Amino acid sequence: MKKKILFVASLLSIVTLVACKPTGPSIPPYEDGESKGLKGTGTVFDEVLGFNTKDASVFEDGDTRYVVYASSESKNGKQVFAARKATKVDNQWAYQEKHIVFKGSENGWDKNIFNPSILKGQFSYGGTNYQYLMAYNGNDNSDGVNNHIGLAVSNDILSSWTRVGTTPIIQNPEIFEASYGFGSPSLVSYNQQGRGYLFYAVGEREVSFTAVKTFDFSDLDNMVLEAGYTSLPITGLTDKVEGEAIILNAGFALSSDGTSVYMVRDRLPQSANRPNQTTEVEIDKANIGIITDLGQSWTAVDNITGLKTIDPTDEESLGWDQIYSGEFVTDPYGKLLSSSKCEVYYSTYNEESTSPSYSATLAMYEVNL
Amino acid sequence: MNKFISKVPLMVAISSLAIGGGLLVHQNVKPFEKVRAAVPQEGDLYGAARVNFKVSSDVDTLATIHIDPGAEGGVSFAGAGLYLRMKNYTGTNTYINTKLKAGNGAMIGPKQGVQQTYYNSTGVEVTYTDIELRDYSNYLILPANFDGYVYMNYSSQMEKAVGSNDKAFRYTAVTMYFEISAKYDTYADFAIGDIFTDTHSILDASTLTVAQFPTNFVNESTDYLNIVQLPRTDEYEPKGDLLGSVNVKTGSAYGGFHVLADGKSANDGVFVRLKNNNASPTTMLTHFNSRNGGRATATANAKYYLYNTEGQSKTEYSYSSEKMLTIPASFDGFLYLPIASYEKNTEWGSGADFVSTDLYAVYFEGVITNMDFGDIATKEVSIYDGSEIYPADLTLHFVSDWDCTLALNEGHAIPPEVEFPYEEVEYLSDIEEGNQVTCVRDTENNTIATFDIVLPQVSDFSSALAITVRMKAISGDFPFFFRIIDEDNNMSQLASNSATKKAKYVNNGAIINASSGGNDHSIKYPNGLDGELIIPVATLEAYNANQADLSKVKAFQVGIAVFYDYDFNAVFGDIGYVVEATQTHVLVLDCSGKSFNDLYQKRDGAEFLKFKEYYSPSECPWIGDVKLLNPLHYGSDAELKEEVTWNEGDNACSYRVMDDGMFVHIGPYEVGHQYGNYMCLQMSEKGVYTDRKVWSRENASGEKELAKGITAYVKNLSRKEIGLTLQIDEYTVENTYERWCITGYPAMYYAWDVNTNAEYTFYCKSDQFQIPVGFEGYVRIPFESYRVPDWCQSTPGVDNELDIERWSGMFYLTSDNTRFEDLEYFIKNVGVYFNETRRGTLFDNSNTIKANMGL
Repeated sequence: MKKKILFVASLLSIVTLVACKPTGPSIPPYEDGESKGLKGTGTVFDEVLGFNTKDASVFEDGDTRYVVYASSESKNGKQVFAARKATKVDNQWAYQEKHIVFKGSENGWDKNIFNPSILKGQFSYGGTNYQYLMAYNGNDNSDGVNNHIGLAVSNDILSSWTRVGTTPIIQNPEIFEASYGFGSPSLVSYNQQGRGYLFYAVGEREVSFTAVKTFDFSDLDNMVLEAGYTSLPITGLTDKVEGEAIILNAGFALSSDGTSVYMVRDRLPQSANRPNQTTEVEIDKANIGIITDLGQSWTAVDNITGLKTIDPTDEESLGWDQIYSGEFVTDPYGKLLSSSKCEVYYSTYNEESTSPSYSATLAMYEVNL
Repeated sequence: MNKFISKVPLMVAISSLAIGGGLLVHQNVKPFEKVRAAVPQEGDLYGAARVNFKVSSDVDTLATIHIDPGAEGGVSFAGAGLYLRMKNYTGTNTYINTKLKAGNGAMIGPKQGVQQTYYNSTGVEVTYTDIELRDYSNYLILPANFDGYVYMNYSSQMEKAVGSNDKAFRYTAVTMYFEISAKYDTYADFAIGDIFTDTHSILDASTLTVAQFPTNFVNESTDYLNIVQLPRTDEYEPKGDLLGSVNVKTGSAYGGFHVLADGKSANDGVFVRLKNNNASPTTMLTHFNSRNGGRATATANAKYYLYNTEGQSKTEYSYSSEKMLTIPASFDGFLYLPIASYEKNTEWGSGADFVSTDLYAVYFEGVITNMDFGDIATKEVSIYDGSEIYPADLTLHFVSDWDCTLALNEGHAIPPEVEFPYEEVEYLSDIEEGNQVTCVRDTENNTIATFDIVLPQVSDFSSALAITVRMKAISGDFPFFFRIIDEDNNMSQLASNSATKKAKYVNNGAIINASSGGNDHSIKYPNGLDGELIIPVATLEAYNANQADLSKVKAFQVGIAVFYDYDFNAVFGDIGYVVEATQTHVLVLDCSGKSFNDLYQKRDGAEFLKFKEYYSPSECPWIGDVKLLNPLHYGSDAELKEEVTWNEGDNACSYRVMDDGMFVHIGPYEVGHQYGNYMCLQMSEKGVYTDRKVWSRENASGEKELAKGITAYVKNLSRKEIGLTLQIDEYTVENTYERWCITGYPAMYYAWDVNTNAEYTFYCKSDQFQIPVGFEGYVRIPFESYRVPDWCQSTPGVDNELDIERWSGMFYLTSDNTRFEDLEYFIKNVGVYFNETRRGTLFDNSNTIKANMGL
């Protein structure tokens, strides 16, 4: 559900082997074609080379798990949003068929779409009540700049979604149009109805950071999105490179009791190997007050590195080279399912991936909280 | 206040870094003689001023001496550089804040961060490598045990001094100032001797007479500093006076007396300060007795000597064949009796050998018609000091032997001093609705800006022991002349600089001796003092033909030498007098209810002054949890610029009153200005709030609660984001300033836009907080977002721990001229905030800026 923001990359050396928790595909590939050559553990489901499965937004509703993610309309084709649902088979999540649920507009601000984030609640738009809300970022250029954030609604995650309005809800101002703009939205509900938090990345000319606004989208024809925002403090965070840490490409969730905020973020630097994503994501925790109070700080909970994704049962397994764009598996409202552990979906690339057939793969890792 | 002192925010001397001798690494390089081959003289320490401390101060203050060669004719300082013959008597590097102040007020001083050049006493250059330099203020550094010449090239080793005006330094009418911390650097003990340039002599200290010395080496801090003149030659120069001298008369008969010495050593001989009041020479026979009864009498034809009153002009005389010495008619000076000129006398006494190291008495006899005997001493010890005795004690020192009357000269004797207890008087005066006087500009001319305080009616002060003026110096020392004018326009003034010291200040029951204002007849009201100026009537003398008749006083006149003193802000309140007999205070002029025009009359040079009615300072206003330290609400640009100053160039910054705050235009970068590419407005501590330095409050539980950060109301008037700092100075326990600046990312601050009601938390950028395009409202910068910048880390006393209860009173508003040129903003209500603060959301609006301020 997130999109990268470019930074200087460096190479990570893997020197040790640790235990990991593998999972595996349960449904055959949707398309026919060459395998991506999976190198690490935790693959959620497999698609063939040329089809992305990345930037997931995933929640469980009862005994069903839904995932909306960025995929390809055709092999190496334009990016669209796809959705799958899964039920448990032999205590493993068995994903069913892929549905293309949302495409970029023909001539609007969101010709190119990225980073879906979905949330369950009560939303009305154009006289219709909807159960599901999606935030995403998009742009109308091929340079990946000048991103804005928009909304869509649906009553069926696996079918088509309705675009809300023709303009974004957060629009990159003209003075910053050469910069990344706004992206990587991550929705968390406040009241299991129309109110919530919208976390998003900001890439200005001088500063990149993650902000959060509160909203009331109960009536999307008269939506309330606060004008101000919190620039999330980075106190307590470190990256692997020297200098101050940056929160980017992050997914957010509340703890099951609602008192804490959890964040899974790309931990810089990015890999020197193309397509230059990070090689690690970090899971951090803070008091819920960090949304409004500069005095709060983060505590690192765990991280997911290539080392942790080596399959100990496969002597040829080297683990994932690039690990980025994490998101928590939550309930439909953005709360973690347990106070003791959670699952994180993240995107990966293999070292062997070569352009134009970069084909990201979704993988999962279980984190003790 | 003198100009150079008034604008020296970072100038202090710190003992902790002054400790340790400089490492001498090599000599025999650049012989001094070659460097200054054209110098017409060699320097030396003859007649030099030796400076050390009497006492230290509990409060941070500076002890100052100044050297004024101009007092003897105004010698030019022109040349390539300046040589000072100096000596450090301690094993500690000594830091002396040094300024040369020209007649036009411009000042130069040792260049910050640059070492002076040193030569030893024989003119050989010596180099020190471990002397810690200071990159603030203007320090001359005397290495430990240094004895030689300090040289400062005007171009490479001196610079415009901190606190100077912007005028070009002129090398005429120059006064040199030396300042040492009276709290921290009281170990200092050094001498300053001859001063010269590479082309000519400026001051040859050995030529200064006793009378000239204190006008050339002026001790401005007599409460703290000792300054004594070293001998002007290798010859010993006796010192003493006739205070408490003893008048001796034998009439026409031969008589005699002796002066007891209590076993002191006569050493080489004994000096006697005396004055022959007779118009004819007086002949005397002299003896010494030791305590064993041994006696010595002058040897016939041996030598004795006479000196003038200053201990100079030694003249040799011979005892007569009758062993008599002769004091010339009307002689006034010193008589020297060399022990070597005396021989054992067995005619009297015990017959034992005379022991000069165990002196019993010195004997004088003859026909002594009328002669005053003053101080008697050897080179080492005093035998008699009349200034220290009371009449009743005379016989403990002088004993008449026969036909001799001895009388303590009461005119010279110092009676037991009984100070009138001014501090115990209940004063009826106040300062409310008095007249606040500030200087709005200085002048190149030696102008005395003058105004009169006119009494509503002619008043009788004839019962006054002392005239009282309720005063307050809000900022800056306030030197001024004070005169009394009677109905017939006769005027009285303070008698002289020495007399001004008899004036007092009374503040909260404590009494302080006044000091000179620097000009003869002037007085200095100290910075920050809020009390009564006490001018004893006895200290007055006529200003014109006659003294003012105190029974019919019509006005008081105040004069300020705005050529020298322009950085002051003082208030004159009620005027009255003290009655000695009843120890009561009589109020004559009550300022309450009277306007400026009722009481004040401007005279010459009053255009340099600004007057306004004064009301007692109040406590800082609050808006919710915000204590406003500088609301920046001013009625005029002139008032604004008294409080907020900008001294660098004409274009890098302009500011003025706008609505209820301050408008600031950031101008272009100007090469060479003091703060690099940053414009810097200084919000001074001249504010009228009494508690603005108190950055704490009592919380609901009655506990002390410290402020949490800095706040201000800002508005971006441009179409680009503006970066702005709000720096503060912490006054350290080491007597220095620790600057705290906003750090860059990831430091953060709160902001509330009053127009959109949007609330934010922002990251700081480039060590500044930003005023976003279109933003108008309050920002709150937590102290956690401040740190001490790198450039301040080497300042002594910097500990990187913010003690907000030691705020110096200074704010600095700076912006980068290179990035924000031609942008404009508005600012007001600068203060500190106390409540826990959060950004408001749709779900929670408690503890927001708006809620905390009750807006």
